[in-house]
Amino acid sequence: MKVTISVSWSPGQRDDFLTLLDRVCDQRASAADVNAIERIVHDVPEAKSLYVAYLDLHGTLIWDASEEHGPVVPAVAPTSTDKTRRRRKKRLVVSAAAACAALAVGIVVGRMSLGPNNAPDQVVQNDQPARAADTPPVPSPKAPVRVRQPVELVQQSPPSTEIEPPVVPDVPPPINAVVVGVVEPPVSATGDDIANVSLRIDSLLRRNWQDLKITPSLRADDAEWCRRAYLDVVGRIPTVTEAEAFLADQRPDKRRRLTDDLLASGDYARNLSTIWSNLLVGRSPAPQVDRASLKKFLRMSFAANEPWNELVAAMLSAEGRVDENGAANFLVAHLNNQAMPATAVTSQLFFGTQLRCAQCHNHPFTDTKQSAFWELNSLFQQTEVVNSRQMMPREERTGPAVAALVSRADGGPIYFETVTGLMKVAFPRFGGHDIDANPGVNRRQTLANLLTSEDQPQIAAAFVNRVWAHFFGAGFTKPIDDFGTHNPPSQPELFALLRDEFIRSGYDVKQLTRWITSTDAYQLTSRPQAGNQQDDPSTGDLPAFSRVYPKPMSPEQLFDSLVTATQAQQGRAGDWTAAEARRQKWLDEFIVSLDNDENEEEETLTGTYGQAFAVMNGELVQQALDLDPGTFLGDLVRAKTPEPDKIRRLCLAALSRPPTEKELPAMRRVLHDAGLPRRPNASKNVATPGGYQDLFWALLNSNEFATVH
Amino acid sequence: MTDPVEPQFDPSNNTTPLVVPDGDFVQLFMRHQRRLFLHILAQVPQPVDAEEILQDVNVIAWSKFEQFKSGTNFLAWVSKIAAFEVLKYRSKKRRQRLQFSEEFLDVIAQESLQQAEQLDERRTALAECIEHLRARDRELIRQRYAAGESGKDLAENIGRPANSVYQSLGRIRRTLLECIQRRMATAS
Repeated sequence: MKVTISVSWSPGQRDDFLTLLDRVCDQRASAADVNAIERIVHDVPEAKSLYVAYLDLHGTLIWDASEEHGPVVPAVAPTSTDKTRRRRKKRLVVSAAAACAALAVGIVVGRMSLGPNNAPDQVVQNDQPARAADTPPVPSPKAPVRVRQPVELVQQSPPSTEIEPPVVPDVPPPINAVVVGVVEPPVSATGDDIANVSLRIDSLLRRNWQDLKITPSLRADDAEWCRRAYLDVVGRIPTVTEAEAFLADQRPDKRRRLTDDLLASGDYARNLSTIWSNLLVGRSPAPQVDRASLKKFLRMSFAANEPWNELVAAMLSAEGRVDENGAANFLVAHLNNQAMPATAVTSQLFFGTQLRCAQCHNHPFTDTKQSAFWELNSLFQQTEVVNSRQMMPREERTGPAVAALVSRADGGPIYFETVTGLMKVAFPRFGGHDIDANPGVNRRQTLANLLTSEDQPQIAAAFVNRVWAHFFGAGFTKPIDDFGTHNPPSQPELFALLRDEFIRSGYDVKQLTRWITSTDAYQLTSRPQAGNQQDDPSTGDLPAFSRVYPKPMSPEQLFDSLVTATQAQQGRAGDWTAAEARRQKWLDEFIVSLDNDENEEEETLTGTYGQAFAVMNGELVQQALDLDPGTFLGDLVRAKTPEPDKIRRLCLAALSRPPTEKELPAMRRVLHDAGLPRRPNASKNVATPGGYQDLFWALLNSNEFATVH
Repeated sequence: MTDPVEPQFDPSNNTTPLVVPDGDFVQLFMRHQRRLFLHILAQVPQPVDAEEILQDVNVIAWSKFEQFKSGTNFLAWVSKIAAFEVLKYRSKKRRQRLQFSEEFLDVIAQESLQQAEQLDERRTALAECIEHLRARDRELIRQRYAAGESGKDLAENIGRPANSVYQSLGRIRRTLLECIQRRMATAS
């Protein structure tokens, strides 16, 4: 005899139930899902009312959306047609059979399913077609036959029982935002929010300066700031045109505007995808990693301003082929060696904690236990990297092998050895939650749910620290991804503010960028002055951010900036793949992959002799010095403008600033003293093409060029 | 379960003048459209099919209006017609769709009727709760529930990775649900 035990929700069960219902709502439910729903409704008394409530919610959203009748969901950035559509009357439809039944005598009502524009007119008494008046519809027998325009309907405002959507300012979104479904708050509406957080950041910084008796540096001039903003946000220096435009702009809020423009540009997403794919899989990962696919996933995600926690969840729970699901590449790159690199890299990149050493022993002076490493590691135990070809039936196995992530229904804990040789057990666990160790439970999926359903201060902290360090040249801890009692943040209140606001914003990456770049502190120059000489993180002291510390350019920034400076832009517009392929080729010479268990690599470019050599003599610079007509330098040399103007243009191209008063005469001397090629009988006071080459070469090879300051 | 469907006219009596429902019935009928749709949707969670069934039910209910006793529970009356139409739909689609069992539908239909009274309040609460969503979340809801969007290809259509989109949707729906439940609880 079957015994039915009615139980209440077990932990996580309600959540899982709702996940099943989500699949039903989004037409993605399987037979197993349907069975599971039935089972839960049968077992748990509260389930049926939850089911109905959830489906009602879903159904109401459907109903209101397709009815076009004061929809409950107002569009964020409505066009004018949206507005009129919202106020247009409910259109009633003839249902054929009912029309026969009530043709000459009555009103027939019903509702149209499917598309938005298939609503024929209502049939009223005496066969007179007319647009219906609003609910309740009691049209007069002599309804006029005139054709009403939608605009006129707007004037007949509906009765106030309807829910009027609020008036949203008519701000047209940038084109790319519409294409990728981005929601960008109009600058004016969130100006307060940005200013609010930036003000609080600044006041906390100022308090710290007072405590330390530091005077902050001066405000950076426009040229310095413009170059820095471009490099920090889009990964390259500005072009001459861009720099000139910014310098000429007279508006008081031009720095804010520039930031917003840069954030809306395609280069922003490209830059972040470069930075993060380097962090996630390195510059030369194992061959099965599809780096381009990962970059595309990142680019799309950053362009659409996906919440950061969802990106992390997507990468940690990814499945499928690496070429189809870019997010899968992260784990594919690190799941070797029983997912030990995956554990270490995940922990470091996403949570800001170093667990590498915890693989073998407890941390000597913090609370980090060895079990922490293995509990995290066990979350990856069900996952395997397979050759996708083998997953397909024999007949279809053509084409190159493509790696794919699959989850097996494995279960159980894992065992690890302590330094003393003792065998211990670790169960899957994350963030204080035990994760079901049974085979049927997909651990990475559970992890992803946790990451997106609960606040994750660690993820926020790790990301915020990294981004702050990216802009200011130093983070709140050093290193930036080793949080713990041994490495506390330098300004805990400020750090907590950033972390909490980031969570509150929904892990909004662009918003965080706006907060940081709008602070007074970020407007400061990178040069120290008498009052803040001691604020120098390179000495090992805690940074006070009384200036923006200079940072060396990354190899990618260097390459992109050289290309920009020299306008070596053949095929540049929109041709990302070609441009990135060229860049990759250039970079490949400098990457040394250390074939060790920890998937490390070394980047030998930054700040080394190799860089100096490559930049000084490499092909890129040789192209830059090309004097043929049509090249940057070639055109400049041939232009009929006075010499100081040409020098100014060179400086703007290379350094994004005009020459100083002291520099100008020195530069002119370089031009005139150059040895080649000189026409016979030419006066010594004429600048030669060779002179321009020398000058440009010197600028491109300067420290100033290769630094982000 | 219910009466079998009768043709609109009594063929033996085709000289009888057509009678139409009175204003009260019409008002009830109109006001219950959404509730009826939701009641059907709870049993047939495919919105397009649910709307078709709704249309069929409308036709029949309209033609049988004389059987409705004024002053009684309209939804209870029309839900009997709906139950029959749902049955017809399921037998037609038996091989094509994943389906819930009979017992399950009985339970759900019953529960749906019980919750029907609160539907108007819940709708008002929903409107308020949507206002409290983050702008980004509101926008995703708008895209998901745009007319013609079925949800299956949503991620592709809006150019976002699937995992992220569906997780977001689930999170937003849950947020809305909790918000509505809270408002209903404080209101009562």
